Amino acid sequence: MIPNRWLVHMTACLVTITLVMTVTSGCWSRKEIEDLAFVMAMGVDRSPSGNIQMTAQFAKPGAMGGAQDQASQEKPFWVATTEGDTMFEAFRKLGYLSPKRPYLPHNDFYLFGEDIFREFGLKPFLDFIIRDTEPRLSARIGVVRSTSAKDFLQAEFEGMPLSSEALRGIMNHLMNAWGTIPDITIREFVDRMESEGIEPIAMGAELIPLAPDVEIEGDPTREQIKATATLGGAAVFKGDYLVGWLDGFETRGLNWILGKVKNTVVEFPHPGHEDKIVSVGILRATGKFKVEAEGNRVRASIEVNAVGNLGCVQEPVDLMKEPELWTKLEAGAQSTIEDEISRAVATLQRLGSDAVGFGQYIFRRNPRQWATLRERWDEIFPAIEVSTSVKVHLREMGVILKSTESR
Amino acid sequence: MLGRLVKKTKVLGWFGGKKRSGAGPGRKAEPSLSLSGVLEVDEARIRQAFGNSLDLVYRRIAIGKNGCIQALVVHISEMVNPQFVSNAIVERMVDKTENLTDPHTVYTHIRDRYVEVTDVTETHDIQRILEEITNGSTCIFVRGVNTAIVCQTQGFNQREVSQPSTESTIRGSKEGFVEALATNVSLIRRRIRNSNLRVEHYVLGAVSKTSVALVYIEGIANPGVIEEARQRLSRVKVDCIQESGQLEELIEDAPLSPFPTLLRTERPDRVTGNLLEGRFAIVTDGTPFVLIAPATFSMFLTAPEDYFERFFAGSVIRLLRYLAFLISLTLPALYIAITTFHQELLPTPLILSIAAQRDHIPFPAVVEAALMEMVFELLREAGIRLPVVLGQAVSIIGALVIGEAALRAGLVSAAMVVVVALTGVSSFATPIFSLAISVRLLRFPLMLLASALGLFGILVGLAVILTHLLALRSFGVPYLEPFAPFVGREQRDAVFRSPWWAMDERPGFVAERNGKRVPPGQMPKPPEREEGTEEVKP
Amino acid sequence: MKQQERGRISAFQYMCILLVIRMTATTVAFPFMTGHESPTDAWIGALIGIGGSLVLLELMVRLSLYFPDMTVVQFSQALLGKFFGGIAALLLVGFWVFDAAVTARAMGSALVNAFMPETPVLVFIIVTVFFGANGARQGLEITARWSELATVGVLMTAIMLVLPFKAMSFQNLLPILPYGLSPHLKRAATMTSMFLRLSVLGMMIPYVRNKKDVLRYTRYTVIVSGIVLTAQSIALVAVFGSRAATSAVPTLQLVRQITIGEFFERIEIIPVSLWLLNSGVNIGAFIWASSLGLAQLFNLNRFEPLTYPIGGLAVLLGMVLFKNYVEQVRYLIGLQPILVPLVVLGVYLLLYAGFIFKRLWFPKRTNSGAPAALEADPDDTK
Repeated sequence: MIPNRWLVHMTACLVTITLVMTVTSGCWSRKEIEDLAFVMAMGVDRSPSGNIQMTAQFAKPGAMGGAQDQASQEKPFWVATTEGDTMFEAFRKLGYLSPKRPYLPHNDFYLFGEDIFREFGLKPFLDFIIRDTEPRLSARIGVVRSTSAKDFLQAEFEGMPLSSEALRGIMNHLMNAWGTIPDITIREFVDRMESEGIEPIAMGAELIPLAPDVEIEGDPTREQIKATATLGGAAVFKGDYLVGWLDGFETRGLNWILGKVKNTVVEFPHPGHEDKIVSVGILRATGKFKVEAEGNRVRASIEVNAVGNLGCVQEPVDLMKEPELWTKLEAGAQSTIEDEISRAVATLQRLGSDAVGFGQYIFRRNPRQWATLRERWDEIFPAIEVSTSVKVHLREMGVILKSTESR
Repeated sequence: MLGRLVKKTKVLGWFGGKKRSGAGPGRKAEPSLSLSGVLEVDEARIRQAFGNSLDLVYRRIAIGKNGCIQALVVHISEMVNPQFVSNAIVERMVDKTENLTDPHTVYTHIRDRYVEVTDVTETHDIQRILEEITNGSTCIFVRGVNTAIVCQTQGFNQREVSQPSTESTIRGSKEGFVEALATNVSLIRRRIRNSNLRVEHYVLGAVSKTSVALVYIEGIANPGVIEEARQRLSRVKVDCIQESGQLEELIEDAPLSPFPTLLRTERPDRVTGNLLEGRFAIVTDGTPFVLIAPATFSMFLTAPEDYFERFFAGSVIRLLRYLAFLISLTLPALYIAITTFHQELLPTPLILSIAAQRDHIPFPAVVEAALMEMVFELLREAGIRLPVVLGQAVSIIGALVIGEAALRAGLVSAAMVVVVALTGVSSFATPIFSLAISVRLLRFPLMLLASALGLFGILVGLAVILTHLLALRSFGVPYLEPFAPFVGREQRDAVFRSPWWAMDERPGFVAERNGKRVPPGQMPKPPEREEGTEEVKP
Repeated sequence: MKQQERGRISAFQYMCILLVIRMTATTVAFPFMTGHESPTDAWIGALIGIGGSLVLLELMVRLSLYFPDMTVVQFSQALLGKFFGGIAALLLVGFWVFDAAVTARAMGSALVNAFMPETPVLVFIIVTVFFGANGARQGLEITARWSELATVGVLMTAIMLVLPFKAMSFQNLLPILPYGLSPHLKRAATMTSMFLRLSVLGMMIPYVRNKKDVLRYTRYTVIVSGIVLTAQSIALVAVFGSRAATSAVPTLQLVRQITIGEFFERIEIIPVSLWLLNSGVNIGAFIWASSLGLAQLFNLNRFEPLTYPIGGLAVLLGMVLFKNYVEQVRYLIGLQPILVPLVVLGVYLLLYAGFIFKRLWFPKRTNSGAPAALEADPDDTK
């Protein structure tokens, strides 16, 4: 091995590769950052003509501060809507409206109009999201209740100008402090869709229209906010199609079962005064369920354990004088949670959608038995007997021993 | 174990095929004229050899009884210590010989008794006399004697030993090498007071006759490597050696590589540390930069201070330096690749911020980056060339005014300025400048590759560089040792620096014998106290 | 015998090369998982396949160790005679070139599919193969050092499998054996066929310094890569559930799930870069083995000039082998588990048959290592 010769050879190679690549590549796969339009949220509706109507919310980076010293007064996003036969086509058609190339990887939300899932089912939409390389599978999927996704994406938020960021903020807050929306990414959604014995659910989204003459204080130059939006509840699917909704507390009922509630507020009637309310802050909770099947009779038992603190009372309590009140408070919280769980299960049974995954439980533990139940699951599921046992432990009561009382 | 085996199979094979050159280093083999013993003739010959050079001193003195014997003292005026020549030679020659008449007796007495110089030799070879005079010796001729006394009286002006300007440390010796070979060798010897420290002398450069010393420790250094170094030094045939960089290019393994395979340093402690690991040093007269070989990649990212500060700090700082090396090599390329190919890598707020900055920039990212890097290199070069006072002004103008103005004018984005600045700072963190230079060069092809194929292109570039590094050797030692070939034991002093009591072995590839460096069980422990005894109070 | 390759490697480096070869092939495509009939308990099949591979590789190594100074190309001629041995060796060499091409193509199309849809796959194939051939040309030592570095990549990949733990749910691993054992046996064959790519070890063993360790390090290779692959299949199912089997690039999808502090997402380019490096080294090892094999087969003085032509052949093959991605996946899961054992095991069966035959024929001389009677050609020695 002669170092000189091969060094010459190496250098020549490096130079050639560099030159060839620079000269030939030109445009392959190359996209300058300033030529991209970042899709921050995407909405899909059924257009009046029956096609797919895609709405994309693009970020306007220039209006977000960035290099400039102060944020401009401009709205930091804009919305474009196209139509097409497939998602792919509709997405490319955004190019008719956007001077920059639409770019999906930073998209956090796929929002669908309610109609479209009732009418077309899921398949035609999800294929694009999981086949194409650009979308993130950790994005969230939401169904817009009663309005179209197109209108929903026009909503604006105070405090966080970019509405997808604001939605993300609300979503995180709801998941961490309320538990009233399902914690489901696209990946988990598709997994639920394809797995045995479990049905997908998606986040519910709602537009809150504001009165047109509402007065907005502060910034006078900024366009008046016409509507804002929020999240809550869950869209329930059966197979491919949207079949109904769980409201916020029912969704929390489902989350109790799945053990996905992190931190939340539970309210129940005051033990001494039926017309007054006590609220308790739950800090952490675990939930699990068991399903047993004997022939056609299937029983499910749900076990939830929660730990929390006393949050607030409407009518004063004196726990130093009445220590037994403490267990009453715990019992009150337990009954509220039990109620939420049974409401959730009842609604799911009414809709015929096994979003809890009772079937999956059987499939995982006992695949042979599942094979016999599988075909008749639609009949069996609504008749499942559910027994719930909830235990709540209250630990702290805040920094006062006794409530304030008027003389 | 691994090291030994590789050395046996490879290093010896590597060195085996080379021819030995017969002649000693730098010595003239041709026969030359002898002295005649007639002062006039000899003086004429010397005068002829030197031409009418201004700085030569021919001092005729009359010594012996009543000045009956003519003598001649020849030296170069600014190469000797004049005080010393007049006190220890001329004065004593005149004073002591007053009752002698025979030239030969005078000659032997001067040679053996009177001259107060430690290093005194004699010769009859005119060629040798000429060489000695140019070296700063004083030659004494006595009429009627056909040999001359050569006294070592070098005493030229030299810079004081001062703090090394290119490698400064907070802790550690503040001495740096100077331009004089003898002083430099003494700086090394003062740190290793051992008879096994060998200093071999070579005279290189057909015209300049520059002194070069090969320094190593007998018994620690691998004899094969030393022999190879001798071979390479004796093969050097140039007219002049001005600086060790010149020598480096003539003896290195991979003359076309962008990476240096000899380490140059201004610090005696770095030299002694490496000598003790079994490497050798080449000291060149006329430059404070000493070469060390065999050099491996990890040596270039090592600072002497790593060994002096606490080893946790030393390890972390060294790790930081590796990181800085990677940053200075790849950061601009990564910026280009990510902003033009892999935008999905960046988190949303960051990408929106960069997009906002880049919104009005007229150039593609690669042009912007190349432009800024070029400006940065310009500023750096200008800063080095200008006098220190002006240099600061240039960096102020460059960094503040140009950067800020370009930003405001919308020519470059703020993120790019940050990237370039970070790259620059990182490249300053490389302790050895010669590696930093090659990294500066390699950055640009990587940027081009990144703009063509994104991260894939960077990867290809890095792969080619790494293949090159893997094949590179310095005096038979693999350049990337101990990473590849992986030597587990030597990881103790590679990215991390183990405490001194744990580094008990010398690197296996370099030092063949005396592998053990520290006897085991050196980890300090608190003295054991017996039960019940009082603690010793200070 | 002419000494075409002068480099010597350590047993550790030998293991690194094998690890890199084994791990790259599956990191992106992971044919073991693709289209699995019973994905939830796929690890059973992986374990069976690893057990089988352990036995087969042990046999291959032991045969090589009977001829400690000969590559498989050389001793196949010694065992089966010049002609039939030559054909057997040619089959192996052909398989290596073919497999280098398949690896390059699989890597290239994964990159095109996942990152740069507009870039032609040819670019990636050329660059990867060039990198490999360039390494191969420097000899075994450089390839070995490369693979030492690339092993770090392998290990990092193994660590990265744990990173998407947030998305993992180990409930997904249930049920066990819902469809019986038969799909697992089929998959075990796929797994074993991937392990048979390690037949290049027949070329490397003569150049390993410490022959005593070869067997041990071969076992380590199988066990370490087996553990990583099993972990990989478990991680895939834990994240994707039954979808794991439907992905065209499952491992790539897996690393896509990595998020660091909800801030850095889509960092898959980092593991992918490591894999790309690995595949370059892998291809380099194959090109080295096949060019050295050819050089020994035709008794050439040097193998280096063959590396680039063989690389070119691999590029060509990589381009024409598959018309589209579907064909490639179908080859990997359908044809490869049959074709590879057929070639590699077939050749080794023949070699063992020859070995036993010669042993019976010359029972006395075989007692001490490689007998002189088994040398390929008396003229060839020295």
